Amino acid sequence: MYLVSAVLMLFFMISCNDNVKKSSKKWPPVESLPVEEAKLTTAPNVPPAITRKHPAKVVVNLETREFNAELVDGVEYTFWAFGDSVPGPMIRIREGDFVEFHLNNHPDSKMPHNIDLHAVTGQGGGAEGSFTPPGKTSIFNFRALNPGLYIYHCATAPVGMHIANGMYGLILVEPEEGLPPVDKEFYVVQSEFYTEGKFGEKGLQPFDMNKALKEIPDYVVFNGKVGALTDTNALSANIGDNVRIYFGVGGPNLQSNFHVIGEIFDRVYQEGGTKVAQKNVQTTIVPPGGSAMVEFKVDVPGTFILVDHAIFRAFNKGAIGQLVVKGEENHEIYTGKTYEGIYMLEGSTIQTIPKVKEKKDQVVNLSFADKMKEGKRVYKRNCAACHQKDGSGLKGAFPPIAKSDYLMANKERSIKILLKGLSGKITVNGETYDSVMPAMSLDNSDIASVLTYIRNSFGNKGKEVTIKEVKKVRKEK
Amino acid sequence: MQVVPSGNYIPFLSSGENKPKVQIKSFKMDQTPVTNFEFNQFLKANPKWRKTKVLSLFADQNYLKHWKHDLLSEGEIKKIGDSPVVNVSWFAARAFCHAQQGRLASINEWEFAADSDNPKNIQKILRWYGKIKKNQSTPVKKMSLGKYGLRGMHGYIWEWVNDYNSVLITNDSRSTSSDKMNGLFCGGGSLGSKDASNYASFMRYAFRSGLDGKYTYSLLGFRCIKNM
Repeated sequence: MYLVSAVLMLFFMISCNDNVKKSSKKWPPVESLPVEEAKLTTAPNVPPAITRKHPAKVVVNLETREFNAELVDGVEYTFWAFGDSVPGPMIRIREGDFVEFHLNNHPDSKMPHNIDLHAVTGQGGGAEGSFTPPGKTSIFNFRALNPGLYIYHCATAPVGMHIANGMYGLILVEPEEGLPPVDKEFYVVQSEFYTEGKFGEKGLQPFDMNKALKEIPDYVVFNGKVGALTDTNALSANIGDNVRIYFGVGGPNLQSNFHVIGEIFDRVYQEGGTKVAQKNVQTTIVPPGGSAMVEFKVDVPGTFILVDHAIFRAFNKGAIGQLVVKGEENHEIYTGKTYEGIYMLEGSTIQTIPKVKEKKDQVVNLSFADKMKEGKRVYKRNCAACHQKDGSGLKGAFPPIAKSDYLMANKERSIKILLKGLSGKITVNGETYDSVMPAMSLDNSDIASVLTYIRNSFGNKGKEVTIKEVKKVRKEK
Repeated sequence: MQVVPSGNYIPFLSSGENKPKVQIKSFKMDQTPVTNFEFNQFLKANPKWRKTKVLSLFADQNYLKHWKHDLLSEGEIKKIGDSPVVNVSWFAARAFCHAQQGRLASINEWEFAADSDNPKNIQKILRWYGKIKKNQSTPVKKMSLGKYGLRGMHGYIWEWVNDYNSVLITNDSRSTSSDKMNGLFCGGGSLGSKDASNYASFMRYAFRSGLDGKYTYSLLGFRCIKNM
């Protein structure tokens, strides 16, 4: 108890100091302010930047609703929300504005609702002043003392469930001097859903309290559903655009590891504050009930994927979005794929598997039977991995040895291929192959044996290959 | 009416180290929520509670908004007579119960009778809370049976209790009434509640704390109890 008191006192002392600083700023009295209605937008749209250079009295009208909608194709969920989508509308005001906030709870709601805006300095962030039973309206007022990007959410008991069902959104309080202008602004909120059925299980899925308590969601999504930012719903920009994403995390439980695949955040206003905390950021952490502003210039065309880089959330639970950038390729920055070939361990073109030690050719003329035996051994060790044990090859990648017209057509060419390797298009048994075979570091005897073996196996029938023939080809340039 | 036997009950929202047990005296409770038909009978005898007569102090403009006129027509009785009456204010519900020599249950009495601590009930209740589909027009005799032979305590409508706002005014030496109320808005509530995971009860308490006596709503009805 004493400890708690001490901590509380410390807390109040700190906030008092803070208050002194804030209240030292003199805002014009409320009566003197021009009145305007806030323009709210549905995600991913962002209200226009504020151009006025003075505070105003801003009226915000927000409705709370409970409705069924899709979480992913074929899966419905009963959302509780601000407005008729998740996240709730984005609100944009200016530092020093005096906000008259109307919270209207739809008469068909089952639940009372309220709103805690993290931008509010005051009890409950407005929750205390906005508790609204179904079919009623509450009004409270606040002065936007601190600029920044803030989450708002419902804070009616049980808070966890109201948030888990979709009651959150972002409010931007622009600093007096405004934010640097950009070309494109987007509004993205990440959150999780806990359903009785597994990911993708069809039908209306009820909220699962036990999964929520264990913090094991079935869905982790951007803007309230799987696919809210993909395909026809993808975000779009043009080359050269400066893009700013207002990113929030509704939670209820998980932080986001926000990353855009193929882009680097030029600037991050970490935790939704007003200062660029870091430049050149790959992944920024955003806590539940928190936010960040990220800015980056798009330099090349393509589809850039927004993910929570806790990557199973992206590929198995839905946390994927797309930013499609249009414009001309810039090969000075990124070329795309310029080559595809077989990966060779060293070097790029035809490669020689190194000999451990160059032995003098054993000029022992093996019998046909011995060549067959030896050749099988050499084949298994050096060739079978690609051309397969039975010589059938792999369609599209490794041409067949078995009944191979290409192999049998020209003995000398076969020797050459083993000695010097081969790359480029060839046609084997009517199929075209365009790949690379490395030069083999085999001595003349082994080459004679393995060629004799393959030319007399797998349904092939041909003359044996002699060391002399191999020697001859080897000498050729 | 069904007899609810006496027993001990630990209120859902209680704070401090000694969680007080509350002794509940035995009482009789309406087996079902009060129906439109029953409320119509009451209005026949008590014209001042009809919707064109009621004082605005005692009921807001949505009072009995699902009724076409002051009294139900034959057709309406056929259609909704057996369904629970909703869109009634606390004042009207109270007057109804008094006219039957009864009263509204206290929060503790209602929660005790509803067996709402029973973990089996919780997920069932949550599902109703989480569903958009309204089933408040279910005939009361068809509502599901709970403990003590009571029907429809969970899963159909909210019900008025006599001290719906006591959560706000219950006091204890270490917390002000407003602190208690905040408990329902934010995390603090979990410190004061008997079982933080009993979200179903949280919602009932939160719902009640937002009410005032003349408030009416399409999912809010009542039933009466009598002392033994």
